[in-house]
Amino acid sequence: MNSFARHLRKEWLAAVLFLAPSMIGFSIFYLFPFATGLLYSVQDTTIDGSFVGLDNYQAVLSSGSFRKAASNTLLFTGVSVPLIIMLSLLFAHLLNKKLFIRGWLQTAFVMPLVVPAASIVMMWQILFDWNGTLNAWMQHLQAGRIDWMKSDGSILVLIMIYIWKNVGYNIILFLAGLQSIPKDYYETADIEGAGELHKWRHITWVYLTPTTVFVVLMSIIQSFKVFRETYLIAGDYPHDRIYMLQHYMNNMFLSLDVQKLTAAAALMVCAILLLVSAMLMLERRFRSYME
Amino acid sequence: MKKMLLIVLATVFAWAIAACSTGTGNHGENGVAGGNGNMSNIGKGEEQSNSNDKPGSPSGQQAGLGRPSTTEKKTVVFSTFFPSNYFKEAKKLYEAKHPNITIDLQYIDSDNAQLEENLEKFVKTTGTEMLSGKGPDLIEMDQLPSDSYVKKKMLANLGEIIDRDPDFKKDNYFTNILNGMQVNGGMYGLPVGFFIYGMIGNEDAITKSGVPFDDSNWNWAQFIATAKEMTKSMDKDHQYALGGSLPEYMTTQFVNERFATFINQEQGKASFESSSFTDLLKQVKVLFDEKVVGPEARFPLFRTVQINSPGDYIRELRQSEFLSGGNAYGSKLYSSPSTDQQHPGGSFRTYQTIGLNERSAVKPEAWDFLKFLLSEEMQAKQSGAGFPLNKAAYAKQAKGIVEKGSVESDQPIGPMKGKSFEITQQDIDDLDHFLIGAAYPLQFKPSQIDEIIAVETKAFFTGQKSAKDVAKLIQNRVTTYLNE
Repeated sequence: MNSFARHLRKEWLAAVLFLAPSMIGFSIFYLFPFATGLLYSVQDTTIDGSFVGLDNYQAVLSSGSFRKAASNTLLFTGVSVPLIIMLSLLFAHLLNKKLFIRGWLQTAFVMPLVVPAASIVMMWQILFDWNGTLNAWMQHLQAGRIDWMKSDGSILVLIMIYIWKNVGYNIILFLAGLQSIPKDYYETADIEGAGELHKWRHITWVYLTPTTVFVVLMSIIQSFKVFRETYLIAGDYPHDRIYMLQHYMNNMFLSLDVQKLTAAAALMVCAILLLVSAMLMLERRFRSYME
Repeated sequence: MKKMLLIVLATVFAWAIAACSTGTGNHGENGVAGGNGNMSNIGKGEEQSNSNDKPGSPSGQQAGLGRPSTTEKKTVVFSTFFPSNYFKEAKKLYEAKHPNITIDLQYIDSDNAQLEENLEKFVKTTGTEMLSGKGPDLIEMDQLPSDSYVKKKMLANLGEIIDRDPDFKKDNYFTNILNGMQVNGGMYGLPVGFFIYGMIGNEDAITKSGVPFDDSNWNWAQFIATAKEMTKSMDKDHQYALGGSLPEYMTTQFVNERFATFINQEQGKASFESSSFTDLLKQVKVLFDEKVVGPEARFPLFRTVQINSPGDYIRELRQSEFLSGGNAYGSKLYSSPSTDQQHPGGSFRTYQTIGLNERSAVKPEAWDFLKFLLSEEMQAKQSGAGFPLNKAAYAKQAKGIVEKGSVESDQPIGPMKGKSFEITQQDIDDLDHFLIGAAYPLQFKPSQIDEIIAVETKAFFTGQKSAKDVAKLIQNRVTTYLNE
C-alpha cells in the first residue's frame, strides 16, 4: 500500500512537471490578467483605485448599448449554434456514406478554416455592400436594393458567415465520432429488425453525445468570436442589430474606460460559465443514464 | 487526486502573485521617487479646484510645481507620433542649456504603407501605458483621444500650473487660443502652433453686387441667402456661392450649428428621425442641386480656407489676381459663418498640442521644457506649420515677411509657378484681426457622430436612399454611441 502511494506521488510529480509550462503560460496570459480585471471592475481608477463595490456593474447594466449588445450576442449564439450543429451533423452523415467525391467535399468544407479572415471579409463586403454584387443583381431583377449590413437582416449575414467558416471543423469532429461507433451494434440492430430512425436514435445519437457536447461547446466559443468579422465589415459602430458585446468592450477600451470594460467582461464570463456548466451537467446526467 | 491539483494551482498562483507584487513594488518606488504625493488626491477628487489638492502637495510644490532641478540628472520622456524637426531642434538646444536634463524624444518612423497600422498601435499602447500609471511625461495629443484622457484625469491641468507659475505670462501668447482650448474650466494641452479658418471671397464681385452684409456675425443660413443674392446676375462660371465643400460635410456643419436640437448627451437621446433633420438634409441637397454650393465650381464667390502662416495667407489672397484669360480678380478674407451667434468668433485648430502626464515624476522639468517649446526663441524658428502661439515670435515672423515685401509661390508646377506675391503691413493688420478673433477650436479628429453623419448621408446625396431611411440609420448608430 505504502509503495503504491509513493508510486502514485512520483507519477504526480512527473505530471506536474509536464503540466507546469502550460500552467504557467495559462496563468500569466489568462488567469492573472483576468483576476486583475476583476479587481479593476470593483475600483474607480486603475491606479490607486479605491473600492466602489458594484458601481461599475451598475453603470454597465444601465447602459442601453450594453443591454442591446448582450441581447444581440445571446440572439446570435442562440440561433447560430443549433443551426450549425444541425447542418454539420447532416453533412457528416452524408460524408459518412460512400460518396465518390468524398475526399473533395471534405477538403472543401475545411477550406474556410484556413483562409485568412481579412480576405474573407473582403469577399463578404463585396457581396453585401450597399453598392455590392447582390444589390446589383437585385436591381437588375427590379427587386430594389437592401442595405444588408445596415438592416435587421445583417445578423442573418453574420450567421451565414459564421456557419460557412465553422461548419467544416464541426463536420470533421462529427465524422470522427460517427466512425468510432462499432459497426456490430448496427448489425445486431439490423438482425433484430430495427428501423433506420430507431437505429439513429438509440445507437448513433447515444454514442455521439460526448462528441456533440464538445462540438456545441466549441461552437458557442466560436460564436463569440464572430466579432472579428463584424468589426472588419462594419467598423466600431455598426447597425445596432449586429452591435455585439465585443464592440462594447472594444469601444470602452478605446475610450480608456477600463472599469466598464472589465465589468462587462466579468458579466460575460459569468454568463459563459453558467452556460458551459449547465451543459456539462446535462452531459453527466446523460452519461450516468447511459451506463 | 483533486487535492494534488489544488496544490499545483496554489503554487502557480502564489508564483504569479509574487511575480506581480514585485512589479507593483517597483511602480510604488517610482511614484515615491517622483515626490508626487498629491497625485492620488487629484485622481480621487471630483472637483477641480486648486485649493483642494494643495494640502497634499509636498513642500516643494507650494507655488505651482516648484523649480526644475538644475543639478540632479533627470530624463523627460516626450512622445509624439510623427517625427518633427521642431522637437528635435528643441531637444538639442534645451539639453545644451540644461546639461542635467535629458529629453527622451520618442516618435514612430513610418512610411505610408504602415501609417494607419502604426497609428492604431500608437493610440492603443499610449492609452494602456497611461492607464497603468506609466506613460511618457509629455505627449503630443493630436492623434490621441484627448477627451478620454481628460475625463480619466490623466493629464495635468495646465491652466492651474500657468496660474501658479509667475514665469509664464499669458499675455505673451494668443490668449484667445488659450481661452478657446479650455475644457470645463481646465486646460489640458498647449499647442505649438495653430491654424485659422475663414472664407476667401471674390472682393471685386462682392462690391459690384452691392448686397449689404455683415460677415462678423452671420450664420450659415444668412450666408447662403446673402451669397445667393450676390451671384444672382452672374454667368455660369461665377454662379456658385461657395466652392470646395461636399454635401456630407455641409450637413455636419449644420448639425453642429444646432447640436442641441439633435443630440441630448445627458439623456443619451438623439433626434435624427425628425422632420427637422430630414428638412435639413433636403435643404443641403437643394443648395447643391441649385448650384449654390458645389465642389466643381470654377470661380465660386467664396471658398473656405485653412490658413497656416502669414505667407500662406498672402498666397491664398493674391493668387486670384494672377488668373489668366481675363478671370483675374481681387480677393479678401472674410469670417466664416459662426455656429453660435450670441458669441461670434472664428474657428481655429491647434497643431502639435502637448499634454503633461498627471502622474509624471518629473513634472517641473517637463513643464519647463514645454515652456521652452513655446518660448520666443524656439517659436521664431517655426516655419510653415501653423501660427506660433507666442505673440512675439509671430510678430517677428510677420515683420520679416513685410520687410522682404513679397512671398514666393509654393507651387512647383502650374500657372502660379514662380510667381511672387506682394505683401504690405495692411495685409498683416487684416490678418491680425482674424488671429485675435479665433475663438472656437475644431477638433483635430472629427467626432464619432460627425463621422457617422458624413458616411450615412452620402447615399442620400447621391440619390440612392431617401432622407427618411438615412435619418433612421443615423439615429440607430448615434443612439448606440450615446448610450455606451
